[in-house]
Amino acid sequence: MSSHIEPAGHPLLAEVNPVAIPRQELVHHGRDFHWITEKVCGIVEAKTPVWWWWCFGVAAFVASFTVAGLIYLVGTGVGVWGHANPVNWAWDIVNFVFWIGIGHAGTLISAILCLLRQKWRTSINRASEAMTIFAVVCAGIFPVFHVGRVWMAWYLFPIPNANYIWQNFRSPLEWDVFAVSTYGTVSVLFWYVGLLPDLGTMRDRFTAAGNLLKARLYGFFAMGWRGSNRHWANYEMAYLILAGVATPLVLSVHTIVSFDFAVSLIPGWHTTIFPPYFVAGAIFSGFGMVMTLMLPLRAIYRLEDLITQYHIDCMCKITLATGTMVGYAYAMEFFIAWYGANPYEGFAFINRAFGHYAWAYWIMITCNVITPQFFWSRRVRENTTLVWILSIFVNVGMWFERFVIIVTSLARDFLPSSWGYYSPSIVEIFTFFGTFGVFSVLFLLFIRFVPIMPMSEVKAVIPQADPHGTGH
Amino acid sequence: MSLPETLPPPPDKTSDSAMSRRNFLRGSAAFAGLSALAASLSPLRELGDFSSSEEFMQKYYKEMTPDDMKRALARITREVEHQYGIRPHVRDLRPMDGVEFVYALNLTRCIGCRKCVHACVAENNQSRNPEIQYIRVLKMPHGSLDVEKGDHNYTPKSVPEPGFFYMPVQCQQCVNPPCVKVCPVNATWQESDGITVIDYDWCIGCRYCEAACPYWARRFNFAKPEIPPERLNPDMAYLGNRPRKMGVMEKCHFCIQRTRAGRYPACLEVCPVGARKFGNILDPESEISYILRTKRVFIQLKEEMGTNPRFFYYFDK
Repeated sequence: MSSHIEPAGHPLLAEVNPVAIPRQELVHHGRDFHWITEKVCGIVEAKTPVWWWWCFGVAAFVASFTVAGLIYLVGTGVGVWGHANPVNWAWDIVNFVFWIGIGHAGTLISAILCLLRQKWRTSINRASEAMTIFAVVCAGIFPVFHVGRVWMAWYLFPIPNANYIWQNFRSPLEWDVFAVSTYGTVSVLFWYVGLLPDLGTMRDRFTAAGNLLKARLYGFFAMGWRGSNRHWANYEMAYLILAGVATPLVLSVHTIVSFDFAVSLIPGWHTTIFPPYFVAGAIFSGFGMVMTLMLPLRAIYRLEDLITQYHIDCMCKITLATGTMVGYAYAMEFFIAWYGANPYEGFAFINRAFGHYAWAYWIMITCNVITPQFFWSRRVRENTTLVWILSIFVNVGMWFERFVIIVTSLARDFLPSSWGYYSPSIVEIFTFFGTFGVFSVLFLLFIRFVPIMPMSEVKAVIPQADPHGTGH
Repeated sequence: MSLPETLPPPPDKTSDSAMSRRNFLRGSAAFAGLSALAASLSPLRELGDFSSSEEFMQKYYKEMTPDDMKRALARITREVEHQYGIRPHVRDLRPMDGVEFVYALNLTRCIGCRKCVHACVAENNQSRNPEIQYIRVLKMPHGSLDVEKGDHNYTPKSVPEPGFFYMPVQCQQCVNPPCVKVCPVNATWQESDGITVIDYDWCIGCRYCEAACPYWARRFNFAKPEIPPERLNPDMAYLGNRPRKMGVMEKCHFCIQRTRAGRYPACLEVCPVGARKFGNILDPESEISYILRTKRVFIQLKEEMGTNPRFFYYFDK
């Protein structure tokens, strides 16, 4: 390729002679179609590695904490968590918002970046979407089980019934039900549609290897995928439509989650900045979790040729951008509290930074505002271990953000006589800890049984996919 | 390629004949797992507070026919009798036409004795362990009306303490109640006489109403409510003081079982200094209308929130 663009007829271009910026290579070492197929399918086809069993065992054990905690909760009452009047929402809603926030990166990567034709999404989108779905599963546990009578939680859904249950559509909690369930449904559909060609590949490979049981299983889920021209045309269109449907959802879900707080009257909740601030935070935390998961995966399965430094750079930069937006929102909350001259709001924010929960606030600031600033440095971005550690700080910081928002506002509302202090119970801590086990169990099953990268999409971004060599 | 003449001998199985170490470990792990599961399920045995199937199939309050309501009241009577050994008198009292209840509290008279708090608990069948109270009395220093200085944890030898006055706070029965707006299942609503009620059979226990209320007027049954049977008030109303179950919200309802039957709320009747006034604001001849017209009505609590409470605080002079 020449290093300069051809003048393309325009005299001005000949005069200026702009430098062509070479496109970043998305697959290193000139890996070809066959290598990619072998690499991705090989992970599923290989014998289950020993580390996988260890991880699975530990994850399943940790997940059992959630199961036991929830059984105890249902049997005994929500009081087994640290809630009490007046702090009647605490870790339950914190954990819900935390997990649902993590679920944002997957759909952002697969839908918005697809529409924006960001080709670096290809090698990470499958795993991030899986992460999204599993995070939504974990998120769903908390709002369902935090209600006092979990056997009546189905009242939230407009199911045809003989009881004349009719939901209150003015309640932000009800909007939440729709936002989250829609998001979950569309994410699963999007993920599954994207999986079809790869499931077809797995079926064919297992058929060739003579493993008929697995061939049947993958064949069932491949829904008769044969890779015909018509299949591909329908597939591409379906994928594009789903990307279009999912794109507004990325923005709407956390907007609506933020309405739970923004629509109420409590100082520190009742602010208009919440929707954009929550969405930026969600994408921030989502990318944090994507990096936490993908970097070890990349190292274990030697995927450096497919998840290149360029991919890590891109993710770091998005984390930096959204983290800075979140930092801006923190500053703006203070500014508006002062500028708006509402004494209650002013107090709410001063109290966050210097009150009883100041420790949580400063953990949040450190992790969410300072941590991402390291990503300005190329040297940091190229140090995978450091990136991984920083990504964990992002996860911690975003959990504390939700804790600060929810607990400080409820613990210190309008009347000092209504103030309280909240601390979690052991049951609550273990239930939350266990959701990491639930998440890990699901993710480990995913990497064991599902191709972790969309082979066809990765193949489409290597030079061999472009026989005319025009680069377009 | 020719097949070998004889197949290789099978691996020596003698050591595995009874139980190999691997099988033993597998079996123990499975047994331990099942025992752990069984142990973790045991708390469910404590749960006696599930909804009965009849309650589960019950219609929404506003959709119930008189017959449905008769059945629901019979079920509640049965359940209360079963649990407490006392046959209650449960009614479904509807709002009266031309009535809108408001409350007015005389801050000059209130002495902070908290008799209203306890009369309320006795009347409304709140849980005694942990005790749920609908009324909180704030103690504030003379010379200002700064609720920021209000303290509800005062424990003097006798009241009133010199230099202080007292301000009881309970559900403000807002005209524009934030709690009703946020209930996802319509388990709480405002009736035509201005009382915001809760259907305890319909509440799923999400506690959003409590988070939304700027007065901390709502109380949640985080644990199974306990009432000694001898303390049970058998005069009950469906939307009022019938016993609640674990995991539902409750709050002051202006003693619906009394006020809709022509009596005063319990907190008013017990007040030794006559600081509490209650009545129909739509009747220009009522005592409450006279008070609101002629007295120095000072505040509705947190009126800047736009909730427009039906609970007024006034002074004599």
